[in-house]
Amino acid sequence: MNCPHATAPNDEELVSCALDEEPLTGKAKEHLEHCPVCQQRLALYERTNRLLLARLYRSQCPGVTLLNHYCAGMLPPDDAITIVQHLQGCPLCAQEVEEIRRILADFDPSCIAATTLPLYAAPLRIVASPVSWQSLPFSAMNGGSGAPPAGSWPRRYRAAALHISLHLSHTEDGKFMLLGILSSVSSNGCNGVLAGRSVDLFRLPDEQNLQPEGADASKPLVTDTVDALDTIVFTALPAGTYTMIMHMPAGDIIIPGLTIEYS
Amino acid sequence: MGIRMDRPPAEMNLAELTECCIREMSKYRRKEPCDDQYCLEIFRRAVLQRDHDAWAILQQQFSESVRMWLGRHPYREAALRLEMEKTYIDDAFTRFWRAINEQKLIFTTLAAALSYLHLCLNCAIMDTLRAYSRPREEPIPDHGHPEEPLAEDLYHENELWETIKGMLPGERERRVAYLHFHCNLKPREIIRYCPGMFSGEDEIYRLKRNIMERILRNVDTVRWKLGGIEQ
Repeated sequence: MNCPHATAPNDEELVSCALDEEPLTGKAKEHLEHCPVCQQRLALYERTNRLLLARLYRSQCPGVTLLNHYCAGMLPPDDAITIVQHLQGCPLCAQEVEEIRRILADFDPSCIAATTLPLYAAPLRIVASPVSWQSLPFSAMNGGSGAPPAGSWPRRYRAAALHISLHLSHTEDGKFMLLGILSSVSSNGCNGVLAGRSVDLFRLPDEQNLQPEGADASKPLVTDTVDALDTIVFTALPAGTYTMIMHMPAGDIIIPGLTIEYS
Repeated sequence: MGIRMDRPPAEMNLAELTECCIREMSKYRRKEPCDDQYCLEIFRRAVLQRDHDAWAILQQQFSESVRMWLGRHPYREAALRLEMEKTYIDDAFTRFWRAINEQKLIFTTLAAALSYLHLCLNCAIMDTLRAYSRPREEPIPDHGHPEEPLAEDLYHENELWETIKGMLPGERERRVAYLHFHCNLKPREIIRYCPGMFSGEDEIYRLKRNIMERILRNVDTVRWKLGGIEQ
């Protein structure tokens, strides 16, 4: 229903106000403030425009992933042709394609952040690998000339980014003390992050081992925890063959075959 | 006896692969000759073998790189006004995983894998910007959902647009209708994008009026497709 009043805004003015947010001015604006007919006309244009925009906005446009694949040359020819045809009629997609091309062209795949090894292994259980003397930065025993004799101490092991040094000494009462020092590959220490982690020492039964009566070989003979200086100490150990299991946050590190005996 | 670093990557455990990957990536970052087979083996296990530990390693090793790329993106400021940094990083990896699985992508070089990961980040950013640019009548889609509308919705939108096009007799009216309803362009923007096609903004205002009048005259035809229009 049109408004017959002389100062009423015409359809073009109302449409531009509703669709393009062009404000009415002068007498047309004053008239609108007091005319329910014109207000109703304007509201109808606004509501129709809102609904159509919401439903149709970019409904014909390819998705962003498709446009990126097009710019990267990853689309089959038919799909690429469809995109090209769309770009000829859609300024928004044409602008996006121009921006995507520039972004992909400016990217340098060698530009990546420095990364570090995880401090402990991702798998749940990992057997630490013995490290040969040759790989050590310092001079080894026997003048650094070669591999140590079998069963000799100290020993080094590696599990992911963790270095484990084991040192053995014996006490006056015939027992042994086993000292373990943990360090990270990328730094001298672990900065105490492993403090509190428990380490079990299991003694393997064999013909020489004399287990105390009632002892359970499935339980550790002794347990210690890593201290703030990244060390573990086991004292008063009898001679024997042991397996060490270190309980780390991401899993267990196992060091088998630790033979402690008089040389 | 030392760590056996010379075994084929397929025979290494994940910890050994990760160590080798880090070592080679350091060379790669310095643009030195490097061997990317260790990293590609982790990619292969993560995707083809669905190894969750391998996928966790990939995310751990490359999240910082994705964050760095986001920081250098030309639309970084606009993007971070809308969503958090972590959202874009997570979305990039999600898109990467989905694309590799759905499209069976295979990367023969680390550079190709990283380029595609960067492309996924770009998609995550642009999708968010596009979603927030929509005229408000519907809620913003949840982050992580595919940007393409459901096939059923797209059919209705296509049908609606074909119906409206059918009401408009001339090519110029159809062009203005497309640029307004699909691109939400104002008359001065239409003039800029279509130089020489229209005499001026007045003509575009006139054409828009004609378009609205025709739509409202045929409101019954579009009402059941659209709903909410009453005269």
